[in-house]
Parts: sequence; structure tokens; C-alpha cells
Amino acid sequence: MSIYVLQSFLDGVLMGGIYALAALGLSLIFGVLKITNFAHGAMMAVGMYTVYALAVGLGIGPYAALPLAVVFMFAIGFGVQRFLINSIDHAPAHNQLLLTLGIAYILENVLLMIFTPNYRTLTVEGFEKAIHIGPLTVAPAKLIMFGVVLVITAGVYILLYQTRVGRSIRASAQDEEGARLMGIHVRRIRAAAFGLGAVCTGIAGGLLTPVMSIYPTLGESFQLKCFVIAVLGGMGNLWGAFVSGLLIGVIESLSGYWLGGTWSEMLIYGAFILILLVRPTGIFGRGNRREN
Amino acid sequence: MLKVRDLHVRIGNLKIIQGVSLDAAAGEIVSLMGANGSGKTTLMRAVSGLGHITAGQVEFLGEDITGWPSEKIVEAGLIQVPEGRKLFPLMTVRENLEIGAHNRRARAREKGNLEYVYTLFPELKDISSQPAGDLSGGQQQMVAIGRGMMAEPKLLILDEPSIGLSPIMTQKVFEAVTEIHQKGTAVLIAEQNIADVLEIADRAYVMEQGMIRLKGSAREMRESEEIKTMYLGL
Repeated sequence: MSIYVLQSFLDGVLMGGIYALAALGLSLIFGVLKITNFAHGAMMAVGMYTVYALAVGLGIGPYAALPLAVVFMFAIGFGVQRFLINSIDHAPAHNQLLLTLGIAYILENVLLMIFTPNYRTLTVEGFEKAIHIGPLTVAPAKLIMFGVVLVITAGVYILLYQTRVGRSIRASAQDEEGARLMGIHVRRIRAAAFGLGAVCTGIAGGLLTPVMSIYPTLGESFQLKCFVIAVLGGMGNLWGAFVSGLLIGVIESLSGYWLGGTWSEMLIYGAFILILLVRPTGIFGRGNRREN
Repeated sequence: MLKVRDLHVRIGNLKIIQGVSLDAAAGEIVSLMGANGSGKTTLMRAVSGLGHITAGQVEFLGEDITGWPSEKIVEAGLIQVPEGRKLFPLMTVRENLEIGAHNRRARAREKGNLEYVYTLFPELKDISSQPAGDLSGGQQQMVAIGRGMMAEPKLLILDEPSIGLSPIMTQKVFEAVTEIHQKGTAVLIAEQNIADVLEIADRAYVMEQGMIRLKGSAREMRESEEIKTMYLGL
């Protein structure tokens, strides 16, 4: 039994990386814009199809398509914030929620229009054979997927903590008016943060393209999961989101192994409710401190 | 340097500032006094580009800056140390100060200005690696003023810098303001601590219900019967 447990654990960690990256983006957007992006799952699907279209259209394979997808996702995120979300800046929270939900439907339907609802798969030549690590087996695409997740996360970390733009993003998240009074162009920073969040979720999606069958509404199942993970990590706490993502991946995989797939979803959301009852600010939330 | 002309400012549907005119010249310390809710903060926020100006004009160094975005106003040299300090609580003192030098004018002289801030408040050097959110109110105020000075103000606006501070800390803050002024920076300061601020100010305005009620030199204000009875409790 222990080998199967270990295998489930490994699968959970690998899939958890995808949750972690996408949830990190959601948490980042919340931290800076103070809104929950309900278009996050749809933007993930946009990332999936961007990689798919580039890989098939240009014949360059999914991994060579990733850098282009980064640029494309950033542009989409930046534009959506700058021209749509920004126009209802500081509106009541439910209006902002409805707007991002609307954006989600538009994105999904654009995908349906272009790509039809059919399932699509992308096989990468030379990557079909599973790798054996001791008693464990793993698909090469999943290993690459996890590696890229780590690289992108490290990139986000360096951007946020080692660059001037990153410092401005963090300052805007911690005190927006303080940032404005120090001459930070907060409107641009908010758009950049949304763009960065879009890159996180879009690349998480793009990395799934070679791993699973994709369809335009696939992002929906990730939307709620990302939200749960980001809340568990403490909304706005990026590293909390990342660790929670891995955790949820492992819980999902292990409970799926022990109890079956139907139970795993129930266990995730059950655990979510339980944890919030005990710790309303999430596992890694900062108690009652208002700032993030 | 700063000329505010017949300014009207709204918050929502409330007309908070109703026709205020005010001047601050180079080399001056100008004090803006008045009770809580008289509109001091709203006026200063509007001057810094954080407010909804419905009429009137703000002129800074000969330029009409009415309606400019705050980052452009900062670039022009008008810097505000806001009420409540608005520090970046999870960042260290050092990082908070560095962000003060975000604007293009101040960026080149960041190092020298940091040294200056450390001579202004030597205490900050010892706590430079602590998160700003963990500091005492007095220390936070020092960081806020230091951060403002890192931005190389031509005019420094201070909104209630002594609020919630101990008398000793208040003294420290006022000493720093005097030093900043001696360096050649004009200062516009809102204070409820009227006796103290009139000691260092050149001129003063008194606001009431969104309008200027009194204005004059600090000496005139100290001797004014109205000020004595209304604000100084003499």
C-alpha cells in the first residue's frame, strides 16, 4: 500500500503546483486591488488555449510557446484591469464581483466561439513515455510542469522583492494612499498586478495543456479551488497561497486514493470550512492585522 | 510657492471645503489650525491630488496643479506626510524610507538624503531593519516624516504630525520640523496643538466648517483674544 500512497502523494504535489501558481496570482490580485477575481479560472482557460494555439499554429510545441503566452497573458490582464475593472475602481465589492464574473463569461464564450466546445489534446512527441523513479512513475510533462511552476514562482518572487516595480506593487498593496503620496503611479501598478496575476493563472493553465484534455469551460473547476486555496493561505499572502496550493493538491490526491474521487472534493471543501471555523484568516493569515 | 484660490472640495455629496484661499511662500512655516472636522485634512488631501475638487484652483511654483494626479504633484516637489502616517507596515523602516525616493527628482540623491534623515532622526538608523508596522506611534511618525524628506520636498505638508504622541515625542517632531525648515524647505502644517505650533510658525490660518475663519502672523494669533478663548483656553 505504501507505494501507492507515495505515488498519490507525488501526483498530489505535482498537481498542487498548478493550484499553487494559479492561487498565488489570485492572492496577488486581491492584495493589490482588494477584489476577488472571478475571471481567474476563465483566464486560466485562456492560457490553456493560448499555449494550444501557439503550439499547433506555429508548430513550436507547448514549452517554446510559454514565453509568448507570458507576454500575451500579461497584456490581457493589464488591458482588462486598465479598461474594464479600473473604470469601477472603488465601487461596492459586489459590483466588482459581478464585473469579473461577466468578464469570465465573455472570455469563455470567446474560447467556445474560436475553439468549439470539443475536447482537445496536445501530445508532445518524445514525451509519451513515463519515467520511473524507483517504484514511482511520472509523466515527463508533469515533471516539466512542476519545474516551470517553480521557475515562474521564483520569477514572481524576484520581481516583487528585487525590483522597483515589485516594491511599488507591494507598497500599493500595503497602503494605497501612502503609495500615491510617495509618487507611485498606483493606477498603472494595479493594472500591472492584474497582468501578473493573469500570467500566473494563464501559465498554470498552459502547463496543463500537454497533460490533460482541455475544453473552454475547464477553468470553472479551478476557479473555486483557487479561491479556497487563496483564502486558506490568507488572502493577499502570496506564499501562504503557494503552500496551501501544494497542500490542497496532496489532500485531493490522497483522499482520492483512499476514499475515491467524489469524496476528495467533499474533503477539500469540508477541510476548508473546518479550518475557517478555527482560523478565520486562513492557515497563514495574519490574525486580525488589517494590512497585507 | 503654494497658492490655493477659492477651493471647493466634496466628499460624496457633502461640500466639505467651501471656498478656501491660502498661501505658503518659500521659506515659510504656515500653520493650519482648527477643530476636528473643520476640513483641514480634506483641504490638504485635495492639494495633494487626493480629493474631488469641484471649483477653485491650486497653484504650485507658478503652475496650475488643480486636478493633477498625485504622482505628478509629487514629481513637482509637493510632498505630504499624511494623517495616520500611511506607512507600508510589512516593509522595514529602511524600505519605507527608500520608497520616499521613488520620484525621479529624488532618486539620484537617495543615498545622501538617507544620511540626512538619519541625522534628523538618529533613532531610525537603529531600527532600520524592523517592520514599520511594529513600531510605536512616535517612531512611525519619524519614519513618515523621514519618508517625506526622502522625496525631496520643496513644500512639505504635515497633517497632524503630533496626533497621539507623548509630549516628549511631540517636542521631537516639532524640533525636526524646525530643522527641516532651516534646511530651506517650506512647511505647511495642520495641528491641533495650537500653542506649540504657533511657536514655530510664521503665519497661521484657522479653519471652521470648511472655511478660513481667521488668518494672520503667528504673533497676531498668539495675541488674538479669539484664539486665546477659543483654542488656548486662557
